[in-house]
Amino acid sequence: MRIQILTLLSAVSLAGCYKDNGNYDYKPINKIVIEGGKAPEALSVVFNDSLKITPDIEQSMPAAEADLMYEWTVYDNSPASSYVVPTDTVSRERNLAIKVGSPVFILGQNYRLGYKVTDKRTGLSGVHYYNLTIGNKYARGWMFLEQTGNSGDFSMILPDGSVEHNIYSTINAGMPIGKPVKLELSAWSITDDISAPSRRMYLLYENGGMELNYQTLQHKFDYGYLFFLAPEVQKPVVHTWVSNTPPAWTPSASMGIAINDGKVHANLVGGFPGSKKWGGVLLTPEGTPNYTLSPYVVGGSTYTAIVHDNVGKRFLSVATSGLQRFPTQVSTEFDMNDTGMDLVFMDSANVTRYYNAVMKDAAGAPWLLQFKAIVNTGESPVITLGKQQMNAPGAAQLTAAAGSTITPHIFYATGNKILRYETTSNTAAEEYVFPATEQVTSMKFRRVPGGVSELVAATWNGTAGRVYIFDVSNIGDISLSGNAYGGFGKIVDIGYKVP
Amino acid sequence: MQLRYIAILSAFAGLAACSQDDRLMYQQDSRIYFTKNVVNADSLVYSFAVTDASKMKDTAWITLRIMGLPADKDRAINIAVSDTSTAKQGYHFEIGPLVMPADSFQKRIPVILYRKPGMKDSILTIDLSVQESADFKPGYSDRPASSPIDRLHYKISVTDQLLKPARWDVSLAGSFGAYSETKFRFMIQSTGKTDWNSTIYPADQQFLIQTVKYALYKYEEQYGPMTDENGERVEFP
Repeated sequence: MRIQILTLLSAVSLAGCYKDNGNYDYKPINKIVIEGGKAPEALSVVFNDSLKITPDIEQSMPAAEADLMYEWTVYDNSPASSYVVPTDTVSRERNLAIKVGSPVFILGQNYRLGYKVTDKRTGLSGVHYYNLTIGNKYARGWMFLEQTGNSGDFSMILPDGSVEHNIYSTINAGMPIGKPVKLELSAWSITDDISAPSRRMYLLYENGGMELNYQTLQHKFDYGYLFFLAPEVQKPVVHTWVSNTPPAWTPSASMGIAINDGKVHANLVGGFPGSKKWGGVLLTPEGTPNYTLSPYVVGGSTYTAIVHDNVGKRFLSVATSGLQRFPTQVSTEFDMNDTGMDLVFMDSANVTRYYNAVMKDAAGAPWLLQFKAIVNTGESPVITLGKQQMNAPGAAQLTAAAGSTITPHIFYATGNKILRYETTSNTAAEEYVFPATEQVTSMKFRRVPGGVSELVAATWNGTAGRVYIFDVSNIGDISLSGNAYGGFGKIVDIGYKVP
Repeated sequence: MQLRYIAILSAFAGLAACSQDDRLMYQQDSRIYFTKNVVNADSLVYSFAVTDASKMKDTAWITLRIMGLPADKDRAINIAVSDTSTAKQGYHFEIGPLVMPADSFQKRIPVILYRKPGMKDSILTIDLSVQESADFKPGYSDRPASSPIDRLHYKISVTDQLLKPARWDVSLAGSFGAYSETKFRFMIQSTGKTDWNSTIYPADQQFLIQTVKYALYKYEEQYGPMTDENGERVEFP
């Protein structure tokens, strides 16, 4: 008996010395990849609107539907939010279909939406994230900056055709602005480290300006706060962002350009730390602030920002350290460093990074200068494309203009008429005549890839403003789309807002 | 009977294997050392020349960190001023309360610097070292890769001369051109910025460039070209 017990104990003890010959062969299991494993996607959602997402799910060993478990979670991902904000589970369905409203969502905040798919057989999951920005019903539509008496406001025509008036004053009660000058909507999300990354919206008026929250349209910063040192004189006319990313890349902001009191200020942005604000007045290549810019700026991947000085009668390239003259070899058709004329209007042409500048000579005659802001590798350094005296009646006195980016046309207005100037044939044709009492005050062209592009014109009869929306055909013909919209003040600028 | 003992012994031996290890914790004496990192390098250069002429004293800060756990009482730190120092304690400088507060891992100690006439033409040094106190023994004595001196020593240089920033040639020359004392003094006056040795973010540096260029334009408009101590015209590229 003793021997048996001792043998048993020895066997148990020796069992600890047993060499593990376990089976370590890897067994393939179901790997779940959502939306191709892409980086988090940015989605703009209207508050109280529905959000529907049908993600693409790939499985290496597809499981039955009953073997998969889904979870949609969301937490406030705004920069000012605490690190311990609660996470809400908003759905356990395969596809998301929720109303983006209270109590989970707050207007103007940013959220991280997580989607997790778990294979119950293995417990392994695939995840994907979306970055949500919650906006209001003014997320998309035509915006009209209008003068009402000595103050300003803006209105919108929403995608469903409804008109919303007095939006600024309704949302920002008690904060009247001076005579409006310009409405600036950035084309890209801006990361300036003074507020959460987002598209930017600026409201400029005769003696100041402000940044509005792009999602809520509420006042965010005074004009002076946007600068490292607030300008003593505030007469802003331009406050925009330009991109020098190559055409094949997804555009992103490279430099901010502000034109205030005729002088230019730059804002260097990029993936480096520290606040990005507009700096001091940039000096000319001669080291002086003796210049007055026209309120236009264009740019490209070779010359990030180009402006025109109506004092020195020349184009200048903007660098954050100062204004620069162009190398001599870039000019053949005309001299970028000596146009000898005033700039009347400048806008994009129908080739990316190509621009049309309408000039006026000393005799009052209109000229078209064409140039580009990109020189591809191996190309000639020449950027001037053409110079011709415009056969376009009234172009030197135009009251509004918009460049087409789908055809070689510039739409411009004199009095109550819209004319279309064709840059290639150097001819102009009357396109539309408004009632004699109406004068065109502003125009904007909107390219709609895959759809019908639009030209919007605003008129003023001395007491009320009206808006006309035209469809633009692929050959540049315009046709009035629906009825005119009334009830506006004197519209001074137009923009199209996207989420 | 004997078998029963063997069985019990085996059971205990087996169970002993199930005991939990004690956590690995710092068990040695409390120690203290100077922190050494990018924002708190192992030496500090202070110049009164970049401040207003009426400023007669200022404070430099040194940071000390403990090894071991914090205590529930204030603890004494012992910092010695080495004989190699050219600044005189009580005249050129004083070191603030040398106390590690209760429940603290780290403490910034003030070093009060006094502006004295002799600093106009010389650079004085304050060589500090960690010594054993009633509560702390000296801590790490190693030298981090980027530090010329170890964690038990710290050097403060103080002067009333305008010193060329150590990072001028590497980080500032490209934007501001060749160094001269006249130019540097003008940069300080026109921007109000006194610390040119710390990292300057790109957007801030652009603003500084724009500011000095505009200030030089205004100066020349009133007084004509500015000439530096070498007889060269002050210019920014």
